Order: sequence, then structure tokens, then C-alpha cells
Amino acid sequence: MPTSDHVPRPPESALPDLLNAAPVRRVDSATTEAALVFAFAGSSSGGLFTDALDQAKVSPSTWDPNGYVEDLFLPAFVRGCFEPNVEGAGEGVVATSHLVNVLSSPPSDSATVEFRRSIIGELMRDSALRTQLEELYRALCVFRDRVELSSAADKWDANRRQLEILTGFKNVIELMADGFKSARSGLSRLTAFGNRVRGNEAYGALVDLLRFDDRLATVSFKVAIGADGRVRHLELVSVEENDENQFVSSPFRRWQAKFELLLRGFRFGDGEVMARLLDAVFEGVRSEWTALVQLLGDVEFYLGALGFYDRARAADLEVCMPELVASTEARELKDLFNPLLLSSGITPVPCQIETDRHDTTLLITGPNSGGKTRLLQSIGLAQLLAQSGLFVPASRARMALSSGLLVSLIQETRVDQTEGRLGLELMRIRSLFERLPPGAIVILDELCSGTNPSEGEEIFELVLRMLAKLKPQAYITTHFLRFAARLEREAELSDLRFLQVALGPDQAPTYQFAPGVAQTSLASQAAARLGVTGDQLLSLIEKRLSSAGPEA
Amino acid sequence: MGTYLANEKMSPALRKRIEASVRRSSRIAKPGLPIFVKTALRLSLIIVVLGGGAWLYVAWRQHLSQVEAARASLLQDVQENVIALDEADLRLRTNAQALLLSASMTYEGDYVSPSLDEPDVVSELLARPVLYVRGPIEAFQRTSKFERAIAEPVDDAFVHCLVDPPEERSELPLLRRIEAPRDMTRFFHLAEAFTIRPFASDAWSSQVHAAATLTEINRLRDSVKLARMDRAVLAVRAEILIHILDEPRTAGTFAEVDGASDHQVRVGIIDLTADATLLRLRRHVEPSWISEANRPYFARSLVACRLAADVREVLEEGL
Repeated sequence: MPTSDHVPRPPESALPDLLNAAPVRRVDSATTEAALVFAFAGSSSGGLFTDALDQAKVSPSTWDPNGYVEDLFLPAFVRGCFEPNVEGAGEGVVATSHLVNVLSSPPSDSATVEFRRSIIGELMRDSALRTQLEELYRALCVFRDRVELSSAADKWDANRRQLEILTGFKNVIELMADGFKSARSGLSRLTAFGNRVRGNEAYGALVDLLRFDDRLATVSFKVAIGADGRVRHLELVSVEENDENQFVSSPFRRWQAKFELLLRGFRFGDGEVMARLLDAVFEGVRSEWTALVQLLGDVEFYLGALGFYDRARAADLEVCMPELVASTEARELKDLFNPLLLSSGITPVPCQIETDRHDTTLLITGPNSGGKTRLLQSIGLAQLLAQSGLFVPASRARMALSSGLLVSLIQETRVDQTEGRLGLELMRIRSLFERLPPGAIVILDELCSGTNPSEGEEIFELVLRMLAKLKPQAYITTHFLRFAARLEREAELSDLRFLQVALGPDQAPTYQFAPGVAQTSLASQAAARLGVTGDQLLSLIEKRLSSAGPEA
Repeated sequence: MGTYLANEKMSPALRKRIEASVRRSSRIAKPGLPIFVKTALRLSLIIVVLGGGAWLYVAWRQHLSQVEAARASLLQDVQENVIALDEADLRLRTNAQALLLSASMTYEGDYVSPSLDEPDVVSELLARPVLYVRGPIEAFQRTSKFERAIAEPVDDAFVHCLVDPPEERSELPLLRRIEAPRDMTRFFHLAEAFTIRPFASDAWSSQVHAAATLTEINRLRDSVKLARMDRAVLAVRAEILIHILDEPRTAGTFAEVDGASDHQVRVGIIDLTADATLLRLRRHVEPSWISEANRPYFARSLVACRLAADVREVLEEGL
């Protein structure tokens, strides 16, 4: 793409990267710039920004998204809780995939985590900055829409469309330069970028060209109105050309330019002259546009986090920036709730999770539909958000960062599977140890289910003993109540901790958790609740037989 | 290579980008003819248009020069002939009109000048340039009809037979005489003497100056040629005026096909240089003596030739 006339791209250090402590060019510059050139020229480019963001690199991370994205329903979380909630941003498309990619790859660099936390913190402390960020987002959306949308109507006046695109770009730069002067966090990069671009000769030419289009000359005249209210006559008072503008030239010069273009194979007219000037101005600034594509994704990330905060507060739930501690310190998650329930329109019931240290294996027991799986999701999402430097779904949190996350909640049957349920479970365990780094978080739902309890317990215990060698933060649910009770009683595995679903006076789950091992899974209650008692099934059978008639 | 789209107010970087834009865009393939072909065609068209305009201008200037040259040439040619005539010549019209008017009034009787008594005087007289006019007498009695009378010259062999009369006055010799070749270098119709007059006027000069095209100039030159200015110059200087005024036809008679009829004629010979009447005769003419075969075609000329013979006889022998 670069040619001898091409203005070089800005260095990485000058990029307004809001996601990394050290600025990184994450969007493919060559491809994106080429797409922007074609879009500016008038070709239909719907989805240019989204495509570029979808393909963007993420911060270096030791986390493997394959280990948790599906089980934590991360796309659903982003769509339901994490999308920017900005008035006036129109019906623009949010780069959901990009948000999922960014969230699913928490930075391994603690400086980057701290960088993001400081930005979030500043946005929460300074409402004016948040307002400016939302304004910047609106301007970026307008810019994106103008670049991407090329309707049939635009074909009639390509120059007008390009001028509007440049106006959109100018608005973005002005907002960046002027709107974040008070920022001390990474948001100050917006000011630096805006000022740098504003100081460029090419930007000055752009501003002049827009002024030229807006005001070539000022004509003053007097209007005489008669007694009947009608215009009697007009008197031209003065005509002032904006001679200081570098694009303003004499009528003879303009004619010469048009004639020159005619000889060069262009059309003869003011439109063609403007087209060449637009092209020249665009050439001077287009190398800055890729940064704005990346910036749109970054701004959506923070506005998504703020949107999560707003959504939670709207449901009388609290979110907080967690206190990051070492893994040997106590873990606390106060008023932890499941954001997936929130995104489904269900108000979740917050719960409390406390352990004396992080590097433990927490066995969670309790009845079906007691909230165990939801708890695992909450813990997984909370860790993910904390690792990304964002709010966690709790009113207070003390959390240790980890080297990875592995979540196994869903065991779907595949059409090509050759193993039975035990085999699948063993493969799950194998896969766990193949991928789990030391110090990572492991979340397993109903480990070793699908086989007879005695053999399953044996494997279960083996897993627990092997896991301890990796010192993970492990959260495992099980219905092996006797087994769990024995482990609690024997206390041979020093890293084991136990939680059970707290039941109410009516033996119904309260969605709270208490230390210990559950005494029952309350299967019979669950069966009664779901209509699977003997009497209920018999009733169903009789109904079917009667409806089938005498022939049956 | 610069471009008119850039100017001095712009930064060098912007100027460079504008130049690159023009160069780059002109290299981008567009549907249709290649750019260089389009440019070449447009340039050629402009050159053709400008060249055509220049050629038209040059041609127009040449045309103007040619018109001017033709105009000057025409004016010069006419002026040379006009200048060649002195005032006296230009007064011929007035004189001739007065003389003919006088001759058409009350007839003063036959007269032959005594100066014609000398031998060879008649031959010498008729060897001088002669103006001849013939027409109905009433045409010369009114100024308003004079122009029309002399505008249609009568070619009836009178002068030819007067200068070289036949030996006999019978039909056959007369016929041979009128059919013989005639040398008209010294004999002019009166109308020929007046063709120069229009070309000496301001109206003619204005017409020449107003002519804007060669076609108009040539048309005017053709009118000059038709005027036979060479003969006009000589006719204006003719020394002898011979006129025949035809009195009304004798009542009860008929005219022949060629106009010959039974009537009286007044013949006059005037020396214009001396302003003297040399001959004044009134004779009766009629065509009945002409054979049936020749009368329809030659009656007028035969009668005129016989009359000329009679007049010659009177000139030589007196009344």
C-alpha cells in the first residue's frame, strides 16, 4: 500500500491505545488502511470497522479462551451486560466479537491490568470524563457510519460524502484533543494523540479545506421590505473572499486548474477540482485513521464496563473494582451475583463466598437447582473481569490473579463420539491436566458424574490429589455427598474447603452458601417440583392410554 | 511537474500531495478509453478548434483584403473612365435631351446645311463618331419618357445604310445591304453615351464601399462590364448625333410584325461639336412595297435603309 507519496504511519508509541500499558498496534494496519482507502473512494464497505476489530490482536495472555468462553457464555454476557449504553450513538453495530476477544484474553502483564483499572477508576471519579468519552464514542460511531455507509444517493455527490467523512474525522480529533485534558490515567493518550494530529500540516490542510467548502466567500446584502411584507429590492453590500484560506484562488487560476484536469483526462468542472483536493487532503491524514478503528474498540470496552455498572445498579446490585491480593491471602466475594441471569432479565440473588486463602480446592455440594452451577459461572466471570482490570459482580472482592482459567460446565453429546459418559468424563479429566497451568483457576461441574459412585469417587480423589500439586484455585461441584463428607471428616487433603447450598426452613435452596457438606441432594423434592413422582408419572400414563382409545 | 490546483499559499507537502493526486488518479484505469488516449483526443480537439478558429480568422482577413483590393480596383477602373470625361461630355445628356426635345416640337421644315455642299464633306462627316437615336416622337417631348426612349436602342440599319448606301433602292439590294456585316466601331446608340453617368455618381461609390463580399464586388464589376464603358467613353465623345423621330402611324394603316408602319419620320443630323444642325428632313415611310416574304422580318430595316439612302442623297445633292 505505501507508495513514495504515502505519509508514514504514526509510531506505536503515539497510538491512543487504551487497553495496554505500552501502546500496541493491534489492528492490521495494511489491510485496514487499504479498506479505508477504498471506503473513502466510494466503494461499499459495510462492516469495515467490525471486521478489522474482529481480526485485531489481543493483549498477550496466558489464558486460553477455548478453556472457558463457551462454558461461561461469554458472548451472551457481552451482549446482555457489556454493551455500551450511550444515548445518541444511533443504531450502530457494536463490535461484540471484539469485546469477547478482548475479555477472553486477560492481559498477563500486571501493568496493563493496573493501566485499565486506573482508567476505569478515573472514569468513575470524574463524571465529566465519562461524558466526554461517551461523546467521543458518538463521534467515532458517526465517523464509522459515514465511512462504511455508501448508499446510492451518495453516488450522486461523492465529494459531499467525502467532506462529511473528513468532518467526522475532524470532530473526533477535536474531542480527543480538548475533552480529556484533565485525564491523568491512560485517557491522557487521547489528548496526546489529538494534539499531535492537530499539530500536523495535513490536519491543517483538512481544516482549511472544510472551511473552504463551508465558506468560500461571504456576501453581505441589504433587503428592503415593502409595506406588504414583500421584498422590494436587494442591495449587494459587499463580497469578501476568504483569501487567507490556502485553497482559495483567483477565478482565472481555478479555470486553469479545470482546464489542466481536462487535459489530464478528468472531467471539466469544480467538482473534479474538489475531488483532487479531497484526495490530497485524505492522503495526508489517512495514516491516522487506523488508530481510530482500534480506538473505537477500546472505547466500547470501557463503555461496556460502565454499561455493566449501570445495568447492575439499575437492578439494585453492586459491582466493584476488586482488591488484588496474593493467592495465599484470603478470598472474599461479597454479594456475588451471576451477570448471566441479569442479562436474561432475572434479578439474581447475591451470595457470599469466603475462604482463608485462594490456592484451595472448594468442593460445593447441595441439591439440584440450588445455584451451584450459577455460582461457578459467577466465580468464573468475576475472575475473568478482574483479570481484565474491570468491575466484578460483587459489592466487595478480594481476589488473586491467576495464570489461567479452565471451566468445564457443559458436557454436550456429540454425534461422532465413541465413548460413553464415563469415557467422556475421563477425557475431560485428561484434557484438564493437559491444559492446566500451575496456579490457574479450575471450575468443574459435577466431576466424575456418569458412573457408579464407588469408582467415580476413586477417580475423584485421584483428581483432587493431583490437582493439589498444581496449587490451583479450584471450584468443583459434586453430588458424591458421602465422599465429600468423608474428605471433610478425614481432612487429609489440606487444601480442601467445603461449601454447601444453604436451605431455607422449607428445605428450598436459598441460593446462599455455607461452609460444610450437604446432607442431601433433595432429589425427591426436585422430582416433585418437576413432576417426576410415581403418582405424577402414573397420571400422565393414564391420560395417554385414555386418549389412545379402545384399540390401544 | 506542477499543477494549477496548487498555489503558493499551500505548504510544500500539500502541494506535493496534490500533484501526486493528479498524477495518481490520472493513472487509475477508468472504464472506456485509456487516459492518454483521452488526453490526446481532447488536446487534438482543442488544437483543431483553436486551429480552425485561427484559420477562419486568417481566411476572413484574407477575404477582407481581397474584397478591399477588388473594391479599390473597381473604383480605380471606374474612376479612370469617369475622370477621362470632362464636364462637357457629362453635359451631353442635357444637350441631347434639349436637341431631341426641340426636334420633336413643331417641325421647322426640311433643311440641309450649306456646309455640306463641299465635295467629300458628307463622307468626312459620316467618318466621324456618330450617336444614333430613334424612337416615337412623343417620347422625346417629355422629359419623363426620355430615359425610357433611349434605354431601348433601335437597331434598324439606318446608320449603316447612311454611311454605305445601297446602289439601288429596290428590295433585293436593300436586303443585301442590311444583311452585310456592319462596322459599328464609330457608331453608338445614344443610350451608350449615358451608361457612364451612373458610375460617376456618389450613389455608385457608396454602393461599392458598402459591398462586403467579393460576390457583390464582382456583381458590380459585371454591371460595369455590361455598361461597355469603353464604348461609353467613345460614345460620350461622339461628334455627330443622328436622330429619327417616328411620328404616329397614319390612320387606317397597320403595323408590321417587326413594327414597321406607314407614318412620317423626322430625320435630324446635328454636329455636336459645332452645336449645328446639318440636316432636318421629314419624310413618309411605309412598308407596303416590301414583298410578302420579307416584310414580316425585314420591313423595319428595309424601310430604314431606303430612308437612309434618301437622306444620303439629300446630303450629297441637297433638297
